[in-house]
Amino acid sequence: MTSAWVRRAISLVIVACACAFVLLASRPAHAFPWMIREGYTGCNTCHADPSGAGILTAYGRGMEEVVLRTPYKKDADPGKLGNFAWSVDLPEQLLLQTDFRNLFLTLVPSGGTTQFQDVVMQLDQSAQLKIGRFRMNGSIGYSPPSTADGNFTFTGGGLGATLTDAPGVDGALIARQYWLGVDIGKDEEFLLRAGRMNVPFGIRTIEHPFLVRQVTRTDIDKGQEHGVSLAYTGEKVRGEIMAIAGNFAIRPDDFRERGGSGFVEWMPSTKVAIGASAMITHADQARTDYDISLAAAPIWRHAYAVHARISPVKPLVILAEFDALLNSQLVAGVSENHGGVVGLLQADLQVYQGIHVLAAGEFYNGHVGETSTYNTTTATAWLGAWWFFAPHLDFRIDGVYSSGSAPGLPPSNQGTSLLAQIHGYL
Amino acid sequence: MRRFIAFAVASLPLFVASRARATAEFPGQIVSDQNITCANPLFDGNGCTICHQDDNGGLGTATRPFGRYMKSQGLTPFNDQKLGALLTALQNESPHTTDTNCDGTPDIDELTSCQWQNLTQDMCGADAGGVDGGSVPLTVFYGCSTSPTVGDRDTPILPGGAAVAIAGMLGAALIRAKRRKR
Amino acid sequence: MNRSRFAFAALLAATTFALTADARISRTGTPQVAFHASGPAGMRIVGQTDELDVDDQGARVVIKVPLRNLHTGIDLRDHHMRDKYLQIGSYPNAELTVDRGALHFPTGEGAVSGDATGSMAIHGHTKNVNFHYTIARVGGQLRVGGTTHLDIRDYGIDIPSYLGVTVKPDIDVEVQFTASE
Repeated sequence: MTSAWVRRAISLVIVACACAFVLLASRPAHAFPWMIREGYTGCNTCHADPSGAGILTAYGRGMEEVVLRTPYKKDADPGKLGNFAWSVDLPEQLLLQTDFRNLFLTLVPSGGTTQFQDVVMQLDQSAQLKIGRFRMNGSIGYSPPSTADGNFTFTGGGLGATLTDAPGVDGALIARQYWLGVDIGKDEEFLLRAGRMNVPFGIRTIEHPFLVRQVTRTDIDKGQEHGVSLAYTGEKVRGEIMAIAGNFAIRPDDFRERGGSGFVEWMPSTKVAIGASAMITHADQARTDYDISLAAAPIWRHAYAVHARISPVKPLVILAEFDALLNSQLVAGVSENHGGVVGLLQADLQVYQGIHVLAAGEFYNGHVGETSTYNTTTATAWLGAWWFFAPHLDFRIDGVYSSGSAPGLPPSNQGTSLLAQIHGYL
Repeated sequence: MRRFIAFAVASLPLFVASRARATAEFPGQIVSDQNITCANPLFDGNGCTICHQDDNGGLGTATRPFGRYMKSQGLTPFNDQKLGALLTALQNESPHTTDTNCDGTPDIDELTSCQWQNLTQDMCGADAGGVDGGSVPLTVFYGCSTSPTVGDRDTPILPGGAAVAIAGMLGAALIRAKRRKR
Repeated sequence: MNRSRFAFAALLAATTFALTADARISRTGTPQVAFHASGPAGMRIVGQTDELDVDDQGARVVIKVPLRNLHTGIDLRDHHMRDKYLQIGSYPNAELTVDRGALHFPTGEGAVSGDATGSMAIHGHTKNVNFHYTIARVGGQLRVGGTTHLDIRDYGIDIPSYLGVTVKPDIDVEVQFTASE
């Protein structure tokens, strides 16, 4: 009798802890397209999301310890170090991950006052439960309210992925992803999903402010949409196509974009991947808060991209993406079409396992017209260093110079930014 | 099959809104909140078209000026409390000034004097700045459209569906795994 | 005159063929040996080594690949592969033994290709395998390439599995080397 009660109590405690993890904290932002240097052309070996980013599989956790982090002992088997909370053996059906990412940002605008920001980028709990071929995946997190004191601002992130009204006085709950899925095929090479998901387009990368991600609104921070998707991962080809029903975390409905997006990637070798993407969406009203050069009118938004991920030698990975853009609006009965381009070239150099030097150049030309706030052309240069210095912990610094801004980025983006990030996960 | 049914049932809360009151209550709520006593305020029996394109309503169809205005102030479907707060704010204007359809009569006065049919008319002209010629610019609000708010403070309330579903599934998996180990 | 030239050419050709058929071959240059394995949903693993020896015993040719420097690009995976699965302490080499008569060599400059059967020994187990080969004579050197398909279960090797990811037992092997006669 006593032992039965003890067992029942233990079960309740376990369930309560699991619930607390889910409720307290949502979606991690791992997305390292440069893992192609290790021969991993696809993403789903290490991530629950077949197109990359987000909660790690057990194998992905192991690989973080084996190939991503700086090793302090040669060929050491990480054992349980990659497990949830460094040691917990979870049932094989269950994935859990708690992420914390904080950014300290110094903005030195061209001709303005230096601003300092502390941004809680991520305080998320993710989970996936897989029963047979069926999957249930979701994340929930917290974004603290913004406070300002002189030229210092403390703020959260994830607007656009909020469950609750935001920004609110108590902060907001963030749910970047939640979906139900079923694995299909002999090797489960297909995944059919419905819910809120990352939009399949271009290179899926952790650097969500990259212009190619912001302008196309396909970043993994807050660019998710509700819809239905079908993903395929084969040995030499992978891809995903998504029917977009809109982002129901924003309102009113007029701003919700509906349409489709997809990408296909060909991997002729384990060190080369070449892809193409397309996206077409329609909204009853354009997001003039994203791009003030748009008219407050219905909009068709097109984006077409080609990208490549190449690792010519193991320490070096080159990532490149080029997107052609078209905004088509009907303004006072007159059709207006405006084209644009946005591009990215990034080099990731792993100088020693776990220590990366990153350099990137970007350009954007696509504002409808030059204004006092926006130049028609923006060029950006990144230089950063990243150290995966301990189990489940990494630290990163970046310096970014931008000659202007772009849709999705604040006008204050023009100038120099210095970023320092710390990220840890359980 | 049992596994599929169990999975489907457990997942249902993900797709169920936290509260499922129908927005069709809005016209009646306006009448009761504002103590409208004149005859036949719901001129067509429904009153939906002061906001929506037709009586069917639905997402994206509140494109008439008053509907756009209420959306621009953050009104979401099913949110009776927010509707009440917005009506009170209109009533508290002194003098009443908000005239979203540009017909010269403040909206709240048109509502309380049973001129709802006039409120359906857009008199603002094509250059007024709105999508359909209305004068009300829309603003983006962040948050799930079915997430209820309390009072004017917009206190966040957790949409329970996802949390309950995930927590339930987690619990079931853990207990099941524990039983298997025994 | 013409007849004597033809007779000389015929004699030369016959002599060359005889030399080719009987000449012992030995490896030169840097060989390339690779295996291609796959895992669930698109995962690919490529293992490589540049060690290969050719032992031409006259009636038989033995191609030996030492496994000690077989690399897949991830140290821990190599460690598991060599020690846990291939057990190279006990079975250091993979060996393909082929009857010389089963192979066709080009009679002059040029290339021949074909399919043959040999005996493959890995992990202490031996099994006949079919393989495809190409032999090209270029500048007096033989450029040899071969491919075959193996099921590691045939050789008593456990199917590798790590943190929920299990490698498929079927692997493709690819070999290239240069040899002199």
